[in-house]
Amino acid sequence: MDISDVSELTTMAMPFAVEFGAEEPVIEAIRGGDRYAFEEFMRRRNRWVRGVIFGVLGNRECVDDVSQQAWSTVWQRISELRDSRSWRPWLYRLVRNAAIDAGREITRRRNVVRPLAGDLLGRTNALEPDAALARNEQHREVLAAIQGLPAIYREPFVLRHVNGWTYQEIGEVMGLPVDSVETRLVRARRILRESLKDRIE
Amino acid sequence: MSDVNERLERLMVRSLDGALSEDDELALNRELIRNPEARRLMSAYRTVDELSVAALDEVTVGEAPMFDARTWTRTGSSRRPNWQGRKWFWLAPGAIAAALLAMIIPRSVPTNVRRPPLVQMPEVPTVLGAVGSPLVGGQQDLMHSVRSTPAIHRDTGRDIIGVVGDDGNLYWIEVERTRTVTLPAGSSSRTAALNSL
Repeated sequence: MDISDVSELTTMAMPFAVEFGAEEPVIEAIRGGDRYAFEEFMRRRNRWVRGVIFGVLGNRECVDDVSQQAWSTVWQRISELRDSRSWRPWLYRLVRNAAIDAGREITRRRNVVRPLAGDLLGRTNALEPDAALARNEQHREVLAAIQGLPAIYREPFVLRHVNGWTYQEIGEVMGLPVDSVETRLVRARRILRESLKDRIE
Repeated sequence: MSDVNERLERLMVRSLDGALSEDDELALNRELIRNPEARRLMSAYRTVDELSVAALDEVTVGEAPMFDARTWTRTGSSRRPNWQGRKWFWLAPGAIAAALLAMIIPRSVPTNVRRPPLVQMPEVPTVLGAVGSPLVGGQQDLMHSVRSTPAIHRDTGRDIIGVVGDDGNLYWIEVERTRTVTLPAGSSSRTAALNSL
């Protein structure tokens, strides 16, 4: 394991859990058409949304586009949210569906997009300084390992590591019992440990 | 991982996820002190978590999109009663109604009236007769069967078609078709007559 690469990370705290329930007045304002409340909501929950998208797709290239589309849909369809207290599973489902739709589109266009993406990646590498290149290489490797996880493991893993959700919160949005969430998180880590063996040991 | 069983692995993961009870924490700590293999595994999992959080930050930390008032338009409440929202709700009864009506109303109402030729030609000898060829007996009778003027046939049909529209309504479309066939003067029998000469 290359300790020097990771030392700066050891001081990082896990992201704090989102306080669910505090958003209800904001959600009500958004439903009433308050665009400024919505902008604030987007700022606060954008990481959350991006995490869900990456968890579903396992593809970082399209997170920007899909999150833009997902937020647009949230604004347009928030009147369908009957109970503002249940905004979290509602938002999760909506974002998840947007990601799944985007995933289908990506699959359809994969043959066209892949050579272009590879070309851009090569050019980006050539411009990066050594230190940044090393760090980015590490991130790229880790992200590739996460992307390589089966979706059923990747999704709870990302929700846990990006949003700091508890097992119960993950189970609630994914419709899983807590035990299943825990099992998936154990298996995700097992696979990642194996994938990143060279970097860890 | 031979010395680390499934339960211990779960305790490690729960510990990393902050989901460990006090009793489980004691059990885990005891095992970590006793078992070097467990310590190595715990360390590996912690590193996986730290690397993952850092890498995922690259993906998930990003500017929230700008609110675009031009394209992010609301069309009002899009919630409609389900029975109205589903177009197929009308499809089944509409199709049944269309099928019943198709059985009741004749699909086509042919008038098929053969009318006399519109243009009445004077009774003049045909081309063969005009040259004064000596037609005799059966040959002459045969020539009488050759029509000397073009015949016009008209068939008029009416179709009634039921179509279920996108809005769920049933629309009836009435189509009236008239087919006009003009047969050239004595086409088939004239050929037969010529062949027999």
